[in-house]
Amino acid sequence: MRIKILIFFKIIIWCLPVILIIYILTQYFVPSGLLEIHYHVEKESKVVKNFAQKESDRIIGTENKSGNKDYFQLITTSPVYFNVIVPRPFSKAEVSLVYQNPDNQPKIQLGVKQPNSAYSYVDMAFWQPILENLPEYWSKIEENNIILWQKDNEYKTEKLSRDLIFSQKKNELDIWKEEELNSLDEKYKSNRIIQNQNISSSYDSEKQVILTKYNNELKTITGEAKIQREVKGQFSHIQDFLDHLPELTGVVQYNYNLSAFLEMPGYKKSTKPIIIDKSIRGSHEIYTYIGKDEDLNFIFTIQDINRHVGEDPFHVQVFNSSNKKISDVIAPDDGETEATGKVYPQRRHQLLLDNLPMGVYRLVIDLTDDDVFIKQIETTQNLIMFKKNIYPTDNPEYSEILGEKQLTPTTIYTNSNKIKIKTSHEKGIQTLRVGSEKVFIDQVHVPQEINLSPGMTTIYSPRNDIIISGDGYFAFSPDQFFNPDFFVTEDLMKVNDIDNFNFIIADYLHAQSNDGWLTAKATIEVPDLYYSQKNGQTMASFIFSLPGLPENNRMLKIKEVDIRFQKPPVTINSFLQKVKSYISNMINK
Amino acid sequence: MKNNTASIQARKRLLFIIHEIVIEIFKASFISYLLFYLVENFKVGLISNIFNLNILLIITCVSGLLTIIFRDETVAYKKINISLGSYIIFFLIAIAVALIIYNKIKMIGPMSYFISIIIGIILILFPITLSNDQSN
Repeated sequence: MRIKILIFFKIIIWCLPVILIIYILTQYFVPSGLLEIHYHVEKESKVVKNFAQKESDRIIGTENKSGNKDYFQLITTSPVYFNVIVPRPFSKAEVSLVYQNPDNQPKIQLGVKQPNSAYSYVDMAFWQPILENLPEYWSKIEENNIILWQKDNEYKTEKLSRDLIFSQKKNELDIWKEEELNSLDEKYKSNRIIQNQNISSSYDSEKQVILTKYNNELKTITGEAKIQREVKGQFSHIQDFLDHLPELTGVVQYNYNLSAFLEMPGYKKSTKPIIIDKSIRGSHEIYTYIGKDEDLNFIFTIQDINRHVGEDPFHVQVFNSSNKKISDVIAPDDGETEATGKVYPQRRHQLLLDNLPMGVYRLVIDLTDDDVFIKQIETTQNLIMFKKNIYPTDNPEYSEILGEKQLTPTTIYTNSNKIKIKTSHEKGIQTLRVGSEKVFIDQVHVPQEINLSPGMTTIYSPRNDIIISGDGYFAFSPDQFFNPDFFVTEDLMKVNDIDNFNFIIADYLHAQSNDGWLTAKATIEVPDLYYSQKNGQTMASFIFSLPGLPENNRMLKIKEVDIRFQKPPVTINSFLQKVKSYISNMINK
Repeated sequence: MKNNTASIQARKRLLFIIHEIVIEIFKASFISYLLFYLVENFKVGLISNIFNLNILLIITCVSGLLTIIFRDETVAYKKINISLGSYIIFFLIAIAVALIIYNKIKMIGPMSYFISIIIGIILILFPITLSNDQSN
């Protein structure tokens, strides 16, 4: 019997570490595919690190009420950094922020750190007082965070009229009440000398009759002031509105660009391809516009000068006007990764995207260094501008790339207010003409800063090989210039009186309210959801971006952050596949 | 008289059971701790991000103390016979310890190989010296 008891206890004792091992393995491999992390600001966490490290002081508080244990951290600075240690990479993360917004912070974004240390952003929540406090005669249609408010003018007219009548009637009622009470006081004034219980109760009951009559009348006129019908909008669905856009002078947009539905005023498609045969070097950012039934079509002729060590792939990403990436293409290096100066034949790469909505598109040519020359750009778009910088290179310094090409001066047009110009080579020393001024670039690697007059300025470079950077756009022809920030409708932030408009369309993510706290959510997926390795641990670096903090002295109260990581669950097939690939990797090594 | 004998016997049985349980707890917690420590050493965060190893360490220490407190004094010391299984366990522990030491000191260079191998050999020889002591 004793032996049996002992065996029983021994089994239980040894089961406990086995259970612990299984628990640890499930936490590490996450076979269910779902990992939830909850971070409460008042507690230390093993996996959420460096939360709000930019705050000068870590201030944790609660509401000043007895027994309240809803701790929050005061946030006065943006962004709010935090790192999350995960056992392995996940393909998707849903981040929830529980907070209070006492100072009406208008926008909260979630950012994830990328390999190049930049951040990729997703909107979490907006708060606009105009939209939160629209009068009752604005109807609302909400479809997946896109909201259309429509003003019911008939309702508004009727409401204003009824409000006026109500106001008049209430005024009269208040006057009547005042007069009745005054008469009552006068009536019992002389009798107050005799402090009689009967007289006192008689006064109270007569007063009560007056007040009851007043309240009943008030109820009646309040009921009469209510409009019996519901607020109606012209459109029953947002797609109806987009398919049959009303007069645009009556439309306001917030975070929603209607330019995809209407062509840019005055835009004409190009009848023949445009060729820019001025060579440029390194990373550039191109803005272009696509009209109705137009493809995005660019052919880049490139060549690698191989003056730096490392691969030089030709990487082009395309973003639409909502900053969403719609294409990501990488053409491989020419095969030379050493700094030999060896030049292989040039290559042509076409970027062709069809069935695109109308609008402004941004091409980001992201290169590892300045080795890659774009010798020619051929495009069917007739509006092409370069943002932030341009690096023309038709100069004898690059004779091995340019060959027998006739090197001619370059004229560049810019709308920048301030530019910087420098050259990296002796052959780039020259006198430029910037507007009507002469600018002498007499030293290598020393930038010259020039302030420009508002409007368009020409930059004439006789010898090229200069890096020009500025706060505006650059183009090789004034005809290729356009305003990429054009909106076909008024922006909510510029509106003085919303009542002058009939429609408001917004991409308006709002936080859910619960028990005095707001919850904002955002989801990020690969490839934007990037993980780094630090000290042998896998980590995702997030930020909450609060534009305007700390300059506007706003603050946020953050209570908790919840992150739901998701990946495909482990199945027998997927497990066997992984084992196979692991074994084959080991064999290949 | 008989009652006294019976209660003494019952007490002895209880002590014996407690002693055996505590020894088992000690063994389980000690081996688990070593195993988890080894894993944590090579994959930082795998254990510590999920479970606080100090809890296991405390259980090991407390159960170790309790094995001494609840030791059955009437049992005479017997000669330790180290079985083949025990030798294998010692050997594995020696390898594990040598690996841990190497991992911790590898930045000092080739000397880390020498140090960790020496310690591993010492630990492998430990049960052999122990059984030799016993036979002497």
